[in-house]
Amino acid sequence: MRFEITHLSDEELLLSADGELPAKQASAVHVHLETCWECRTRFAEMQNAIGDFIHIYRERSQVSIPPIDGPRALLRAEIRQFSSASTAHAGRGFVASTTGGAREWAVSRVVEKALRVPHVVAFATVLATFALLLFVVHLHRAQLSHHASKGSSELNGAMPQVSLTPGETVSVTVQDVCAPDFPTERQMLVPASLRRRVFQQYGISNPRPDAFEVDYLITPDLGGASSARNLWPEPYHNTIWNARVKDELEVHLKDLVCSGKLDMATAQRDLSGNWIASYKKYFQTDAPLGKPRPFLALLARFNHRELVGAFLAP
Amino acid sequence: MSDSSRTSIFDLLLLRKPAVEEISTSIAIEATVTELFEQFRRGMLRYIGSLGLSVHDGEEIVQEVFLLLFQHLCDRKPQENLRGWLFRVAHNLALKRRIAKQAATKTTCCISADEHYDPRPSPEDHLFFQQRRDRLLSVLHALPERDQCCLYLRAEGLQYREIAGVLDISLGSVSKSLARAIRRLSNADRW
Ligand SMILES: [Zn+2]
Repeated sequence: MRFEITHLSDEELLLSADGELPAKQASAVHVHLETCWECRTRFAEMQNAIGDFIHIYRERSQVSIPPIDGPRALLRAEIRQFSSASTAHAGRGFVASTTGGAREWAVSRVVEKALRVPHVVAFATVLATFALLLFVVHLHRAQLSHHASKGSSELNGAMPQVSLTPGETVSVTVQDVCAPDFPTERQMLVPASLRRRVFQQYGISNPRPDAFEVDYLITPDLGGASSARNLWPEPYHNTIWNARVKDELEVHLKDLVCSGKLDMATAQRDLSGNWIASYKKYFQTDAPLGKPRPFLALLARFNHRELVGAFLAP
Repeated sequence: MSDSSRTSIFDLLLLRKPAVEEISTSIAIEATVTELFEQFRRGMLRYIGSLGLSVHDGEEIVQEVFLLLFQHLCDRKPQENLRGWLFRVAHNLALKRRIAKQAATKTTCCISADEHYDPRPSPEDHLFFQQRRDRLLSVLHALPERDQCCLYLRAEGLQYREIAGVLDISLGSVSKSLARAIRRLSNADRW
């Protein structure tokens, strides 16, 4: 006869309240609680303590947690930069400054993994041969299409169409722009709806996500607007006059503006006009200063889908 | 960046190859990551804050965690229980950062009683609530850190199995920790 029942432990009470017990044990606890005032009281005390704790913990969510918009935009920008870095589009991602551990970790890990397996080297050699072959073909074709004027905006694309993207600014002062907390271009993510509109205007339907970057003509860093008239689809395949090179010019112009050596209107004009000519003018050069490495440039000349497609189904 | 200088043509080809198929899904993954970010950012910031780090540090850690999540999903790693995964990575990064910070400046863990609090009860209630709250806080902060972490994670809705995963302890340790912590909190009123 076991009337000297052992009471439930705190742990059992908690496990049962949290739904962590197997059904059989849970119903045993339930039965015990119905019959035992002592355990029921203890259970209520625990419930109260949980309530107290939650109140304290909740105060923490009233702490000034900044709105999600900025951090979310930043995360998206980082993800895009990260995916373009790990796919080495036009060599841009690799060169782009990445500081976070995650990216370096990811890239180095892939490389590590690749190097650990010996036969991949042989595979890579085969791919490299195809790459060279395709490169020659591509170069030939690129020259052909260069002569054909039609579709040149999509093929070259280093410059936007003036009629569609004349450049647009918002009214900001030099002080605004040069303030340390002024949002940078990287933080100004182009919303998906606006990107769609830009593609539409340029007659690009179903753009491949890896083919274009929607870039600002006048950088927001210098008062450029987040509008369709200041955005254009810049192909990733540009290896010489690409967005990274344009970034160099933008940084330089901003330095000039903020040190009072150049007025903002001129800087904006130099970006919205022929920015390549401006680059040559400001840097006294005919070619981008930070030249892409030969292999990267070579690889970036052709589309990797083409490459792998050709390899898999020659 | 050192990776780019080491990059040979072979590496590039190998990097490019797996990327091809993944690119079509990377948009979908980005959407998933964004959705989870919206769902868990606040809770993760709260948890990281409970470990004694600032909102600013928390924000940076959360960014890092979700970038790693993107990578994790691109690698087609297991996708079940992403909540547990998020909190585990956040926990580890937070501890790492805290150690780095403590090495730099000697700080102690966990929110202090005066921080983060703006009580707005009616004047006559004020003193009573303030005293009770301070008592609870001091009991809370006197708990072993593992017990505290279990409480915080449970408050974020994690199940015991998930908590065990985050803290890398056994299921039994989780329930013992929680039961002990709650018992002590409930005794706080008996003084
Ligand atoms: Zn009992």
